[in-house]
Amino acid sequence: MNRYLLVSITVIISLWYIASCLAPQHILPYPHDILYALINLILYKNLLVNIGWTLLRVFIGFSLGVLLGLGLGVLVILYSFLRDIVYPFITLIVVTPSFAFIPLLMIWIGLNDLLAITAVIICTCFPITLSLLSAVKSIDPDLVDVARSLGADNRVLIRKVILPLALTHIASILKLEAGHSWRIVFVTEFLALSTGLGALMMNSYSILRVDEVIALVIVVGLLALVFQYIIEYIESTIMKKWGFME
Amino acid sequence: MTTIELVDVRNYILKNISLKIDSKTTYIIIGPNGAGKTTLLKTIAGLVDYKGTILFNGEPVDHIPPYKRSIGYLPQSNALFPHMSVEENILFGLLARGYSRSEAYRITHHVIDSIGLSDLRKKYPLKLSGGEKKLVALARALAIDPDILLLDEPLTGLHYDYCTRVLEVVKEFGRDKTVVLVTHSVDEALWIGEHICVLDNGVVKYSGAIEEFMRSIDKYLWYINSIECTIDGYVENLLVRLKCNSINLYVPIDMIGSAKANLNSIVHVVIPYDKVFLSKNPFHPSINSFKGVIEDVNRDYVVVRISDSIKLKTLGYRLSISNGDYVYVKIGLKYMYIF
Repeated sequence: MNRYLLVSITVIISLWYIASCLAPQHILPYPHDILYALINLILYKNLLVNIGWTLLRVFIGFSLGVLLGLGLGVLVILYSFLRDIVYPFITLIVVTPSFAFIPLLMIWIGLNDLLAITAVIICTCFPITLSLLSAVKSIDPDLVDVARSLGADNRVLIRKVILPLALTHIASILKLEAGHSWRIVFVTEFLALSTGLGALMMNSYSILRVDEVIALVIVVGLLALVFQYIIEYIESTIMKKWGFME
Repeated sequence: MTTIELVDVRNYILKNISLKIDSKTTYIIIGPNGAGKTTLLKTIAGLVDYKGTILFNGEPVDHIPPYKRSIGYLPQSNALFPHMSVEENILFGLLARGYSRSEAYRITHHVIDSIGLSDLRKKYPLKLSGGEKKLVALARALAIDPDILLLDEPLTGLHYDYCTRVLEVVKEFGRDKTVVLVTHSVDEALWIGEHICVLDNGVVKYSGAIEEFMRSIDKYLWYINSIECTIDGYVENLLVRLKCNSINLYVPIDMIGSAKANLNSIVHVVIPYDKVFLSKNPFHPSINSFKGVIEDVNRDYVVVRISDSIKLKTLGYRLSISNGDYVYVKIGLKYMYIF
């Protein structure tokens, strides 16, 4: 592990101990209490199963959101008249705060798994469509001309040239949306579901178990970080393969 | 073998172009920047909209999409797909045209080997040098076995070795098929071409044999100087002395074709404006350098009068000079073309 990271973790934990000595225990427990709370969550409150639920929702919602976002983008590229029809609506959805959709979806869909997945799809799909459309504009027109002269029809052109090249441009949006998916799923579980990390958090909050709440915050943060690293790893592997990165 | 005929072709740049390009020809399209050269290539390829008619072997191809016209197109930027290796770039066209994978691989390997790119097979374009990229792009265009090869400034910025390799491949192709090559460089045109078309502002200014064109080149291309001279003598069997009005020019003897090597023969000396060097101080050695007076300074070039009837255009507009200033002009020995 990086030496500086180790030092900073040690400093933070030390400061935490000092702060815990000064603050009441029901506001800021000691770090070792958080560790006990974590073990307690794993043993008696199905933490790992709830992590599984949250991961599943994030994964399904994010994957479908990306696929639908790219699919819609491809349709707009193929049929340019669609651009004028869908563009204003997509823009409107993208600028609306994502959490604003959750109450509406609770009424429409009900309090079930589909709620979290749909919320993630809505919040992931349209920014990806928008960034795909703007990425396509930045593709060198010579590449498209050459592909067409070599024999590519629209299908081959989009599948083999436009989408792979656009993906290099929308990689940063994918990373942002991956983090966003975590937030949406967590809030949805917190507000409306009975399983998942958000629901577990709601449960701990309702009985004022600060140690569990802090343990869950750390777990959610670490999992989102791992998710982010996986996306970054995939991105950098592709970029390295194509020579865009050393 | 494909003849190309353009009849009254026009679009946002081209203005009523009519041209005939014979098969087994290397046809040069030359002109200044913004003349419409690249647009003309793309129009032949069907990559931009146009009105009028284009015929391949007498058959109109106006409604045939680019991927069904038998053309290989090499843009100036090479446009190699950055996410594909050299091998995949070349495979792309073959697979897109419906070849089986095994056949596509066989052709790709054959093309790669014949152009001498075997070592680069698995490399990605960003790891290639400029010359290697050009050869790969050329290999990709040729792999689909087109009837027509369209090349946009294929030699610009290439090292001499790569120029030679690219030209070998192009000339080999041009023996049986049709090559249309865009350039703004006179030496490239001379090196490669047989027939030439001068394009300026979307209009064909000249179309015909390259020899004929070179004699009056300065009428068609503002960036070229042309001086009429007579062969006046030889210097130690190395240089030829040319008398051009009241000045003498010296050129290497191998630049003069044997038919014109007789004393007192009239020749035309062609010098691109960017090969006429300008200084406020005398040049050393002083061969082919002259004192002159500035007659015009504009955004594109400077006109220097070096004798009563000889004015040269040069690229000296960055110097702080103005009309009436005395300057020194030098013409590099190897930058002249003699006709």
